[in-house]
Amino acid sequence: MSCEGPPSAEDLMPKRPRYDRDQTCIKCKSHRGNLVIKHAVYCFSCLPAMLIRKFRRALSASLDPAAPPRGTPSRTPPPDVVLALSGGPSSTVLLDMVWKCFSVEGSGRKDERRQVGSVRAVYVDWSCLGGKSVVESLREACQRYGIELTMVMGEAAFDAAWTSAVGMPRPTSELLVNQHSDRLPFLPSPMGAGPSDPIATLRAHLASLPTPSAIPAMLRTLTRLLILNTTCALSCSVLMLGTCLPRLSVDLLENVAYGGGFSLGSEREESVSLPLGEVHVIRPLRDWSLKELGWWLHSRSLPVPRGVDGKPDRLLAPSGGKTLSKLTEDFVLGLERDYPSTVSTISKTATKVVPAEPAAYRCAYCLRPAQKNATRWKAGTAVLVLPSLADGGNDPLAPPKTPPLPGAQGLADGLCYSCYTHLTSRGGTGAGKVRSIASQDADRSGSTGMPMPVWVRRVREEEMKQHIGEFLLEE
Amino acid sequence: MVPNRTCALCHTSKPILRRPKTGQQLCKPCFFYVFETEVHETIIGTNLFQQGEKVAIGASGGKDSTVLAHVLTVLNERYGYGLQLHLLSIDEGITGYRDDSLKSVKRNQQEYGLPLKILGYDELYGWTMDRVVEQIGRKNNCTFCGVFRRQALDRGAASLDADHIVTGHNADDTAETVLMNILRGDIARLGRCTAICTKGEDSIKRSKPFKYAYEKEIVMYAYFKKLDYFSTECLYAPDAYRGHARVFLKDLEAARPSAIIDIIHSGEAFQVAQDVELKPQQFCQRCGYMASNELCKACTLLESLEKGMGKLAVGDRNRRKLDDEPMPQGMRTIPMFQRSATTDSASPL
Ligand code: SF4
Ligand SMILES: [Zn+2]
Ligand SMILES: [Zn+2]
Repeated sequence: MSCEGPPSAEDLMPKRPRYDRDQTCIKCKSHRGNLVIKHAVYCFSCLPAMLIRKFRRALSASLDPAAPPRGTPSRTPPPDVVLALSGGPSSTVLLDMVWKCFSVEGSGRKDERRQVGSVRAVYVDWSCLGGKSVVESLREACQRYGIELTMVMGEAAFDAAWTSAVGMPRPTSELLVNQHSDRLPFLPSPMGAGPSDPIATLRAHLASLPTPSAIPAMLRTLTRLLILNTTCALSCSVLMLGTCLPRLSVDLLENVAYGGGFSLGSEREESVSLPLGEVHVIRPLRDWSLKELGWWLHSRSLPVPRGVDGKPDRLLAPSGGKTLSKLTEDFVLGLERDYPSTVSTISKTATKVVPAEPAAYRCAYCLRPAQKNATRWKAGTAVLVLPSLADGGNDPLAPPKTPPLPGAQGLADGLCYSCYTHLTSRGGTGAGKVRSIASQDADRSGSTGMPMPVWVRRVREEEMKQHIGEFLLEE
Repeated sequence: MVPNRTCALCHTSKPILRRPKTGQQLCKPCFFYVFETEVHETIIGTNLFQQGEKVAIGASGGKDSTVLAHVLTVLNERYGYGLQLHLLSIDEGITGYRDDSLKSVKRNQQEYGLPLKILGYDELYGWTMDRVVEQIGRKNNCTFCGVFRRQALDRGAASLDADHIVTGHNADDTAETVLMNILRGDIARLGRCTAICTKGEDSIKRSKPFKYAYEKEIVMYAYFKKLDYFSTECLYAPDAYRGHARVFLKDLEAARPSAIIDIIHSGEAFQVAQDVELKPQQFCQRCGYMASNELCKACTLLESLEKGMGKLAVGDRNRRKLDDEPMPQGMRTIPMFQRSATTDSASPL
């Protein structure tokens, strides 16, 4: 290290803070404290009330920041809500909390129950990729709480029949792009091909991703879009996720590592417009530490299905090398152990930044706001072809056989930076393994091109010209 | 990896390396070409220099600044930037480290025929890092060193009458800084750490032409160009150098090489929300340098050393204790910072 970027004490990680453990609970000031949460001691009888208050506060901050104080009857009807369940610990707590706060059996006060309307639950099942489904145990749990559970199969993202269920125009044919070309140009749709098998199409999509890291990232986006559209189709306007603090920090940092800084805020809270309406995504557990989650599960004796966290990326974990997602998770969970305050700092940082410019359009894949020209910018960060030189000859810098930077248009011009990165960034450990990870059978090996999820549409030429106008030369 | 038959760019020569940024297999001339061209494009794309500008290259003798001096010399000539390049080295006064690395700076000076200015902590602050470490031990020494270096560079440039300092900060450094600022919640720095060029009120421009250059490629360039640089680590470098963030970044890069550029892009895509208050810029009452309090950081740290309280100086909490202590007789201070106001009449490249 030649020390050109001088380090300083400020550049080192903040030290683990020291707190003096008081013996008595800070709430009732009488009982002996049992659990330390963020430097404060609570007794077992004050904890539940504290956590419920925390949950409600987070909820009203997201649902209606300008809400009238408690007790004043609200004029607008409360929103109908969908809970996204994964089967993991935090979704178990979410389900229980919602019941505790908003059901007649769980909560006493009528005015408090009015914060939300009807409550349903949705689960995306990825058993088509070989994982164990937790739908049975989730169904039981939902039944106990009297909440209806809707299951969506993961492969629906590639099933033309699903589009009509969620109010999208049905695509006439499968959308294919050439994943070997940087601008992801559209390919002619296969002629005369019958309805394709959604599972095989899903696998073909995953198998044409350029790195193992892109697999969990894209599966997460697919899951998100399936749940969002289902929420709309169930006529609900609010989607509640069970994301807890360390998970949120992982997601935020992952987003940064994918180049998605522009939509960092969406990772905490977002509103998405869909064919059937608008969905507001909120995470009422986003300030909860693992300790708080664990205590709630324990004190309420809630069963959590063992060994299943419902996450599809686990099913496809590549054998060699780690994905960016796994690396980030390990990094953040390591921080949670050694520097607990850093984990909440990550989440706080995200609330203090905003996009540096207005969004130009919404990404065709993830529907998040996208930045003008970002994918072109990325393509320009490395010189990939030599410019034509007039005097070629034996010069090693002679003109290449392929033409320089094509003005070609394609899906790339309709994507956000991170989706573009997942679909095009090559290299790294395990890059050669994607095909074997994602695709068991050689089902579609004959066909070329990368199939896209059913909501991705061919970007129309006028739209594209709007995005890339300044790159086009006069004809 | 099986080598391809021909270079991915010229399709004629035999490739001898795999480019870290893109994974392409390239021949040597093509690698030099893309490396230099990308730096050139960064310079042109951001209007970094003005025609005829006097530019001080912060030269430590390490790989980044050695390659920077080389590449800027090459590009200045190739594209006619018309820059007056100077080498500016800071001597922290670390026996067995800086004295050796300065030798390699001097060799570079001869090779490129660039004028060299060396400014020492001893001369400017009356303290060498060796003596600082004697007083405060091997904790927080880099805080002192970093603060002192920053100001020393500005003062060195001012004495050269240069308006612009370029440093060898590379893409890895920038990406790591983005991560660190997120982890530390340092919103103010997060907002500006990805800027290629920063400039205070009347202070000198500082920029990083290697902002998008991967560290691995800088090393590769130095290796194939057989550049002479000094690679020993500072004797006082902390073990936990910048915490775990560096390791994390290297892991990300290994999993997907574009992660470094992607993180920088993330950092560029957001800005500080309007309602977050940032401290206004002030000037040090003692030495006139940029400050965020009454005294600039260097003056505060220097005062603590002079009072024999260097160990206390890091962190705002101990400021009071420091103030309570009377000033020792003949306490050294930093001379007043003065700059001749230069007019920005030059035209961009
Ligand atoms: S490692 Fe620390 S003490 Fe050594 S030169 Fe760098 S900043 Fe100074
Ligand atoms: Zn996207
Ligand atoms: Zn070549």
